[in-house]
Amino acid sequence: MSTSAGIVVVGGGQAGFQLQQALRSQGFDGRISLLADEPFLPYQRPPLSKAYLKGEATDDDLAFATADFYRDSGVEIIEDRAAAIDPRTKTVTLSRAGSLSFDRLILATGARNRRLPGLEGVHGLVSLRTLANAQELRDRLLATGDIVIIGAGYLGLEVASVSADMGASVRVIEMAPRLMSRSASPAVSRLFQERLEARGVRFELASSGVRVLHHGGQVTGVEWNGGSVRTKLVLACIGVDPNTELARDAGLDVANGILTDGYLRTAVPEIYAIGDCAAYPNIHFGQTVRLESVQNAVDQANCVAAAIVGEARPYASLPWFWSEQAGMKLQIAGNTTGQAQEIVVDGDHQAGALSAFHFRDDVLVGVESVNRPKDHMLARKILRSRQVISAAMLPQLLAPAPAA
Amino acid sequence: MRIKVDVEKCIGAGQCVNAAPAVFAQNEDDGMVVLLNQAPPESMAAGVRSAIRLCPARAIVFDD
Repeated sequence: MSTSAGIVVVGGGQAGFQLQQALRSQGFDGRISLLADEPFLPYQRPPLSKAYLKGEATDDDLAFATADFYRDSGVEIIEDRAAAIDPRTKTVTLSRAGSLSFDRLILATGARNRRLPGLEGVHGLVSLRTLANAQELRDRLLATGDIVIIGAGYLGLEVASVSADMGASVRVIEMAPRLMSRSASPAVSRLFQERLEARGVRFELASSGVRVLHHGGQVTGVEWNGGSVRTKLVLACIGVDPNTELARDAGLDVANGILTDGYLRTAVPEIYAIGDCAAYPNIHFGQTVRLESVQNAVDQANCVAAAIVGEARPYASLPWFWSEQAGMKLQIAGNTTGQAQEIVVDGDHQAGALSAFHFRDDVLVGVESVNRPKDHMLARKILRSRQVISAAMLPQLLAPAPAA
Repeated sequence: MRIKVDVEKCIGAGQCVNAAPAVFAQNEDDGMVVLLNQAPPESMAAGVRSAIRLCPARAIVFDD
């Protein structure tokens, strides 16, 4: 393979950053160009709803690396978007000016937050994905001391937790009857609800017909079937859509994500997709999935970097995830999103330390752990090695090892 | 350079171990960070700074 044209990475998020870093650490010495369309060097997103919102981390702290790092490792950061890809000529046209040739193209285009329709330009309705979003959220929160959050998923709840700790009045409105209903077990939902309520967060669950009210271009409140509240600040945490348009327009297959094979390659073998934008066959879940997590971005980038330097292996990493709310650490390993599973809860609800073990067809497929990192690590080991653990085997697994 | 780690924040991502393997390790049982050297020498500074920036849980800080 000629490496004259080099590697082009589209997207400066966690996956794009990790890809260039992994290529260099695995000895790739060709040209690397990273297209990043935000006016910041690549940065961490997880702290935006945690330490950054609290004021415990600055903009500069969030950067994965300083400008010197990229210069020293010979990685060119281009602040621009890719406007089009021509797979035939292996060229990316940039949005502002010029084009780049590639030997390999990595699509790490990420996802974008869903927006509530019909509210474009209304002040006080905010979203949280980028550093610019987080700056606006923090400024407005400090100014109003009051926030209504639509959506009780991880992001909404992390913001709710931090906002309450900052002394703000916090209300969370959710369509589902419980918190984190897509992936958390009822026991975990209940524990987080109690602990967040104890910190002053108010919940409006099973709420339908949610509508943001505004007057004169400014948010004035939120109403739903059964209630309403006045507020000047609304955060919508209602999910994301993968950025697939670039791939679709290049003739690549997209569905809920850019479709890849087990090696994270698209139908054009020189083009890969990784991170939040990629839909790939997951061997642990037994289906095509698209995951939004640091783990997924980092491990997929490492896998593709290895393939580029000549060690192609199918992507097989175990998905894991974490969240931090109400002073508790939630860690999830494997698949906890499936239906019709048996869930066994072990631990102490009062003490705020428990794990929920998810079984499908009596095989352990996922574990949620709250303040039980040992269970989480054990789950990662078991699930990674695809050990078959039934519900009946669980007590023995959790028993403390006998003293030597 | 002096550093400290907050095990309460750690989520066992292992990024620090990759960045500075002589300074950080992970506990076998729970995956939590183990600080091998609280005062790493200047020769390891680049790796340590990288570990601080890469930790997704922001569990490593300078201990001034």
